[in-house]
Amino acid sequence: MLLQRVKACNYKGVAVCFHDPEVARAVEPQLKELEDSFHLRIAIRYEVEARTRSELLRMLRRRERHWVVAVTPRGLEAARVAARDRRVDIITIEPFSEFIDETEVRMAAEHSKVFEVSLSHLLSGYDHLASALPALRKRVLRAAKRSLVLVSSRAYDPLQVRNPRDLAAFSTLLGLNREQALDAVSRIPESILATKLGNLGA
Amino acid sequence: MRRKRRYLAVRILHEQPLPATAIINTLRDLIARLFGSVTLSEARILPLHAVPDQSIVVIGCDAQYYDLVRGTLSLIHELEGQRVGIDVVKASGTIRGLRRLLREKPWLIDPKQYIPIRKAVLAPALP
Repeated sequence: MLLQRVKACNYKGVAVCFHDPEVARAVEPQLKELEDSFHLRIAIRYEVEARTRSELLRMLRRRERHWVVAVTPRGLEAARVAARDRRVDIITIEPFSEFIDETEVRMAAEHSKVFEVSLSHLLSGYDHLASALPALRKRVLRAAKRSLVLVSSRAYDPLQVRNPRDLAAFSTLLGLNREQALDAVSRIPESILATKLGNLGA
Repeated sequence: MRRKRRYLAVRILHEQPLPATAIINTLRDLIARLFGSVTLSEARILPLHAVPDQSIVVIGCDAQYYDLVRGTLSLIHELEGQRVGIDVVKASGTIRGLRRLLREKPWLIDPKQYIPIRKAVLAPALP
């Protein structure tokens, strides 16, 4: 259902989130079949949430080379390690995240990390939007000064999926200019998928 | 100088019948809340008509505020207490152009089906 909606929105590729690497490994063959039937490039995205350095490194050791690794830092130590570690591809920006400061952005830029904003963070009631959107905008503007920013739906059900043009329009609300907004939903995620799936020979 | 407009055909994915005015009210409310009432008036949101069977609503807005309106539409996830998905299927600079573009879609829309938004109740549409 979710993939049908993704296909209907004219996406070429998608990353499916997993928190547990064992589950991801078990499901991988089925995803390969879905990839053929939907004519979509499907990558595995390993979601890591960590507070400390040791916790993050322990989780990163369980990843596969061709997975997209996205880290949501829950502590300053984990944020700094995520910005430096070559195994990390994406650092997630949350509306009220305390760890996306100038130092984090500079370190991430030096190690070619991409920051990610998800629309789903803002789809949980209208009441907190007025505070969450400016907070997210502030962090995105800070990140976009030095690093690349990508925007995703991070949808858990079909109703949360938005088409790429809508996501680009949403990106402009976060302070990205038109060119950055279009790159955020096309060129940047495409290059990450190409790098990762390229390792598989896909 | 005359200010240009943009027209958007918005498809609402939902499970229960829904009055078409709900999306206009929520859109206006959100723009006012996030960007202020001055922006809301400058965006010149214009509810035009709806195609209830296809769950499509046609909205006009000021061309300069097109991204803002489209971005705000993407933030809408609940209308009248039910969860919804929003999809801007087409956008054009004229209503005629929009209707022509919609006709090119696989699900052809008969122009007779267009009715004013205030009278329309949108039929359920699932992703």
